[in-house]
Amino acid sequence: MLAFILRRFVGMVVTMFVIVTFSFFMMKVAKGSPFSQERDVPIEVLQALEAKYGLNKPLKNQYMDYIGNLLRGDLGLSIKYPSRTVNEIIAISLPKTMMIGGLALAWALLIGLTAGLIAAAKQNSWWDYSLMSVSMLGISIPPLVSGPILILIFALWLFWFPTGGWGSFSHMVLPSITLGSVYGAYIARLTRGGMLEVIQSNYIRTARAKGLGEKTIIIKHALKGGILPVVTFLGPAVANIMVGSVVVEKIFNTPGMGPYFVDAAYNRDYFLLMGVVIVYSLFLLLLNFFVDILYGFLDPRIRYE
Amino acid sequence: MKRIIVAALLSLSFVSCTKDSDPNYYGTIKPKHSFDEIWINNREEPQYMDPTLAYGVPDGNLAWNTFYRLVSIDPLTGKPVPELADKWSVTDNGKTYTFHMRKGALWSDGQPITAGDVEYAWKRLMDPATGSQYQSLASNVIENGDAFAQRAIHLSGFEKSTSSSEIQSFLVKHEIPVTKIQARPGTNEVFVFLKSASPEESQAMREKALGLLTQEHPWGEGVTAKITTSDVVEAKAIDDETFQVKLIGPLPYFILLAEFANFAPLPKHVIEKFKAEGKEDQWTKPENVVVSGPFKLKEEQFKQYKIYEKNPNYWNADSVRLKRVKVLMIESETASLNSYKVGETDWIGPHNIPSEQINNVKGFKDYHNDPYAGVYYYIFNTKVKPLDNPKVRQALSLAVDRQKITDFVLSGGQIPHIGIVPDGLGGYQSYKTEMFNPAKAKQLLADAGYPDGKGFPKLKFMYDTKETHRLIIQAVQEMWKQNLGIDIEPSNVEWKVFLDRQKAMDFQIARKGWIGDFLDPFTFLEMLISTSGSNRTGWVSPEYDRLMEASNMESNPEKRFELLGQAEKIAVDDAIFMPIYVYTKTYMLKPYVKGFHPDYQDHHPWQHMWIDLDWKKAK
Repeated sequence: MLAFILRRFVGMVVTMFVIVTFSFFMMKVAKGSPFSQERDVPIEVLQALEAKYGLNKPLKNQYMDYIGNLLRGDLGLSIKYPSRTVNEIIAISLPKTMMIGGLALAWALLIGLTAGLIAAAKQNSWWDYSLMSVSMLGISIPPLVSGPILILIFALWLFWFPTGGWGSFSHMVLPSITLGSVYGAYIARLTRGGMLEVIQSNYIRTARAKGLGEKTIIIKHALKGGILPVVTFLGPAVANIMVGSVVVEKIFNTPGMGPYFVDAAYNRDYFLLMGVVIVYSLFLLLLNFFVDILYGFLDPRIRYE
Repeated sequence: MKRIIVAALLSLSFVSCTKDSDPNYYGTIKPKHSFDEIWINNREEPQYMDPTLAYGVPDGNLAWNTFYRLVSIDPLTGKPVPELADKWSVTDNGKTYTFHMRKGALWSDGQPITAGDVEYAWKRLMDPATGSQYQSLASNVIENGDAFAQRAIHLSGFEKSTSSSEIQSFLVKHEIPVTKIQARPGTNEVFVFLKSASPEESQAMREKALGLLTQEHPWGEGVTAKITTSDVVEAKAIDDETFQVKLIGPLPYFILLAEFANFAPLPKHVIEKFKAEGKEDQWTKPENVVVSGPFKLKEEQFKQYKIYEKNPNYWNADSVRLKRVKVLMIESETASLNSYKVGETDWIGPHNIPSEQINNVKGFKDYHNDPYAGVYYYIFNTKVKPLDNPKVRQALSLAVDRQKITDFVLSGGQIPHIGIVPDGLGGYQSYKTEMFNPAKAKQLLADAGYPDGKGFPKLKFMYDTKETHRLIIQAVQEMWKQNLGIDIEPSNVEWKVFLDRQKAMDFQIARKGWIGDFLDPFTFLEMLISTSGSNRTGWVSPEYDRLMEASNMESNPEKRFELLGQAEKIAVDDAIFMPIYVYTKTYMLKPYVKGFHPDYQDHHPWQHMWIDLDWKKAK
């Protein structure tokens, strides 16, 4: 087990390094400068601006500087918001995104697991068909559509929730539901599929033959194996949810991290862009790592020796 | 349970309909806050909070309402009126301005606002090390400002007169390219401007030139060479109360520049303190900032909101009726319009109404639509065939029915336009000529050798990715096809790439928008001067340059407009730009907000705004 963890950890560090390097050079290849404007920037001013961010150095040196700072945990200065560091911007925005993400995840698991379990337990019943149709709808309707509909109903007609922004729990409700519902729908279908497969397996037949109650069979015996596909899905899904959705955060004007993936690239805010890419990669790598370990506990057939 | 929900639902929607809304208004009509407060949308987190560095509209609006200038513009008459300077005089045939600081005007920390703070701020703006992208607004007009701004080499101590051609030939002989050599007025000193393509090159060239001049002493030992410092710039505090600035010519628009956000006096004592600690960019934080205007930043949440409170030390604080201004940063147009509808904002400015919603909100009384000092153009790259032929450009321009575009494509009240300058800048009337004549366009194209568009190459049109631009070019493409028989290929590119390709002149036809920095035709016509960095057409007209130069030396306002008018005529007749329309600014404003005046530059001082809870009775 320990050897496996170590091996995976080294792999993660290497992957991270490759991601950082690749992103850094990809970003520099992109045409356009962070300082391009409609009005021509005087060359002497450009010189001062480039010097401030070290962009006047050769590319190799810029890269070395960046890696050096990164190892010290310094993500650099934002170009778009010059009085703030990238660390500061991420520290401000990531917790908000994660709060929405956490709620969305809770919502997704709640509706997804419940619907999936019911559908599996009552396979080919009216329950099954209607729940799975709703979940298909949930997958098909993107937040781009569901978000504005929720705003229209709950903010503009009923005045139950604010139209967007940040400040209290009520600001988080609509974005969390918008973001979580899509994942919930996936989880419902994966749970149903996983459960059905397990329910037909021999050890469940044994449990039934022993005369256990249906509830006990599903919750105690089938669930552990049945949600394996969900766990696999959750690794990358949680990473996606936790770093924020560009669309949801734009629609609800949430001051989170999601929009930077687009805005920082658009503004050529090199360091901010690198910062959010690194945070996302970290989430993705760590969560996949945890999922692999979790597998060992959930599935007795998997052993890390 | 179900019944309770339904009941709650009904009662809620019922309450909201009867109390806060009115069929004539799109949004709620009762403020959600106290009567001495206003909630507005700034659309974006500003890039710079420092007035010297302020660049875009989101920066400018905040700086402009909190850091006041020597003069301000009366919102009703549009004329400059005394602000932090209580009077000023113009001497030396319009070239020297002397400002007398208002007695008793204080910074928000209680320190007096002195002429020294003005000098400090203006020189900070011109200093290339500051990195302000509006540097040239000041350095282009103030005597010796450009030498300081462009780090020219300052030569002094000549014993005998040395001609500039002598200096030039010496430097060129040593492979140092020179842009120009400029005498320092009233002395025998000179400034040498070096030519360079990139920041790195410019640095290297300057060092080479300095090294050469200090070692070789080509004009005697007494001649010293150094990089121009700020003390030669003719913007000086004579004493604490008097600030004097000398201009390069009798520029009548100078007083409008002095009102520009970047020209605000700055609290030198505060900035220098932070600079000494190496934290210059922290002086604008709420806990540190010191302002001269009616409102001071109290609290900020990045990308959410900023709260401004009335500054009791502002000299004219008695005239300020609002105690608190909450500025939101809502980026999405839809989210902004939603926030307005439910009363989370009282005023949402331009770019806050999604274009597909314009027709839905148009009929309401809280929808407004004012002209704006900006023009939407297509520009031609005159270096490529067949666009180097004026007849081709004229034909393309004459074949576009601008009225149709403003009426059916945009429908936001935009005004079809043919001039470079929008109408009514300080009384200037832009040059008018025929806008749409398909028959003549066809003839011109035939004269240029392409009868019925035969043999005309398929030109590429470049625009930045945005829905409006796409709709306009589709209409124009169709008009060119119908009226001239030619086809073009529109392609959209991302904004920064768009800017870079324009700069490199890597395009054939491109879209361009230009917003006037101040209300004078110069801010538009300046674009087409051959040396201007904003001239992306490759067009060079010595006559145009001469007229523009002459206009800056002309002290009679009428004669000056005449010169500018002649220049504009040259550019329009030559069809360098193809103007399409004059912008309008659409916005939503609650009926209870008073003291809000339409403005050609969309400047709305919070200072004059107030909330009228009895607005219905007042009507």
